[in-house]
Amino acid sequence: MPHPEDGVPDVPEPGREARPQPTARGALSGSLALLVVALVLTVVCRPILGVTLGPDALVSAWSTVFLAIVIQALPFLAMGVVVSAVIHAFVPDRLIQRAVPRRTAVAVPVAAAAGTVLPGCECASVPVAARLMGRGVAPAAAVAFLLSAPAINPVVLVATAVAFPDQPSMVLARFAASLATAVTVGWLWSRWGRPLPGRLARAASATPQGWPGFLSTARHDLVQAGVFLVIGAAAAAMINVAAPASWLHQAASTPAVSILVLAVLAVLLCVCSEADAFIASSLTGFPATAQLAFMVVGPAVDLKLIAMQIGAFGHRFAARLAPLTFATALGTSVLAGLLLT
Amino acid sequence: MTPRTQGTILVLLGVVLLRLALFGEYLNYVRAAMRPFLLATAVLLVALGVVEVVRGGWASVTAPADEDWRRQYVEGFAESDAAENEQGHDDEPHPGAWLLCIPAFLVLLVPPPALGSYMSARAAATVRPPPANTVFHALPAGLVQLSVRDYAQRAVWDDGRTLRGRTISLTGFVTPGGAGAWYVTRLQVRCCAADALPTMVEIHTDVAPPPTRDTWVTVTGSWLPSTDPVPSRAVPRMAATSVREVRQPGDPYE
Repeated sequence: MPHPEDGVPDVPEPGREARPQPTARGALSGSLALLVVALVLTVVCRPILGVTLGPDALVSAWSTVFLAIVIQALPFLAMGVVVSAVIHAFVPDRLIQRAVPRRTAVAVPVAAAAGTVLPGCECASVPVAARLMGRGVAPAAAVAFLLSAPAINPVVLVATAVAFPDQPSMVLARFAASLATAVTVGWLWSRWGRPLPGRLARAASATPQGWPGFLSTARHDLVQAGVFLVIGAAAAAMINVAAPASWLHQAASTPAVSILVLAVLAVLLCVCSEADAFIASSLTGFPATAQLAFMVVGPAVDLKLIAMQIGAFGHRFAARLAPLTFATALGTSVLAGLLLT
Repeated sequence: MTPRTQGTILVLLGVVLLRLALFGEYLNYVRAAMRPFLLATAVLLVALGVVEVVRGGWASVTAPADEDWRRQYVEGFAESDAAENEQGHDDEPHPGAWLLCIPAFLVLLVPPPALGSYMSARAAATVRPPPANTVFHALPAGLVQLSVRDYAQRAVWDDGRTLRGRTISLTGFVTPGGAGAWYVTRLQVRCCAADALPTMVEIHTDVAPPPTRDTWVTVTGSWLPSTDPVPSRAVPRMAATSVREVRQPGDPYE
């Protein structure tokens, strides 16, 4: 990984291109042409192929469940991404930074609570936390914000209420467990966290501002979150439709196993927090506490977040943060599940 | 994958969503209340996609490629995912974005049908208990149309008390059972089709041979007591006097 400590690039690394290839101006790029061709082929060949799927086929059931999760989640995803992009493009960091108190012990809960009002997609929370740290906010507070913003914002809570219409306690449990996770990890971090690499203090990450910034961020985040939604929906549909009933029964009947299984699944699937409630509620065989664990662990730590944290904060920072967050999130969701559901 | 291609994929997704919402096909996947949100989301996706496609054309004309490269390197975020939020990184390959085409192509190729006998055949024919404090009121006079779930709960958890001697009609799709038996089935959905759970009523009749699976039928008949007295193990039954094939209702789920 390049470390331009003096801020001046001299020679590109061997194997790294001197400059990115500019796209052909005005002409169709390769990827766009491919897409258009595939579209035309599909529309033209459809009547010829006469593809029909009866509801008695596994493939058809999988497709329906998959599409249902995607369609159900898309409005919430879009809303979360758009609001987050608006905030990050138009609200100056100074405002956020001033709202956070200096003393770490107080800053952590304040920063965690701030997540309630600032919808933040997971994709955006890492750069925001990095910017806050760069501007002098205590790392522990920035971490608390990083963990709470994707998990307890209004869009996520509404999505959870919609996904569990006859279980309002799930919304409360999710809120409480995620908030507790953010505050606990923040406080623990202020004691045992690793110091940040020096370059972070110097790097002023330039998130683009204004309308062009909003549009780029919104498009990029929508596509990225959409991709992970598709992967998560495909996996959940697979479990729903294809997993042998006996496996599911086994996994779901032992509480400890079922909670751990869904917590690990949440780490693997990297679904955006606005959508994970729909995936959790589709796993009908699992107990409520396990579904809660899926929703609390997912926005706090998953493969995508770990990768972003390594990139922004370095290996050592992430190597401590990830297991700590996983254990805390698991603990708070079990506690919340016991007390509230 | 350029911003223009990503924009095009968003437009595609939006158009597909618009089609599903406008023509009622969305009811195979989500509840009716979602319609305005689907329409709004579709418009948003199309608008954002179109803007990005148009902008993508201009950006390649105006933005110098050198400057972006230098800026990325100086920031020090050059290799990390976090930097993808910066404009200069838009030309990087984003291989996963193709996955976003899958839902759109599924709908274009063959809109997946409403869930049917595959899901119901995997489940047991017993009836889930009704919520606590449920009271089963007497039915109005004459021929009564009940939901499959309502009938099943009254038959099994209320011992058929409100059903005795009444003529009832149920609408659902056919799930085959063992040894020539068949069930009239409906799927209950709480949030979307992904959490659908079936309720089935076993039909006993001489008036018609067992229909093919997944056919939608309206069955008229009277209550038959279950063979097992324990409610959690009992299967609801009906003696049918008429079985009529019907079209799938607009909203296939209860």
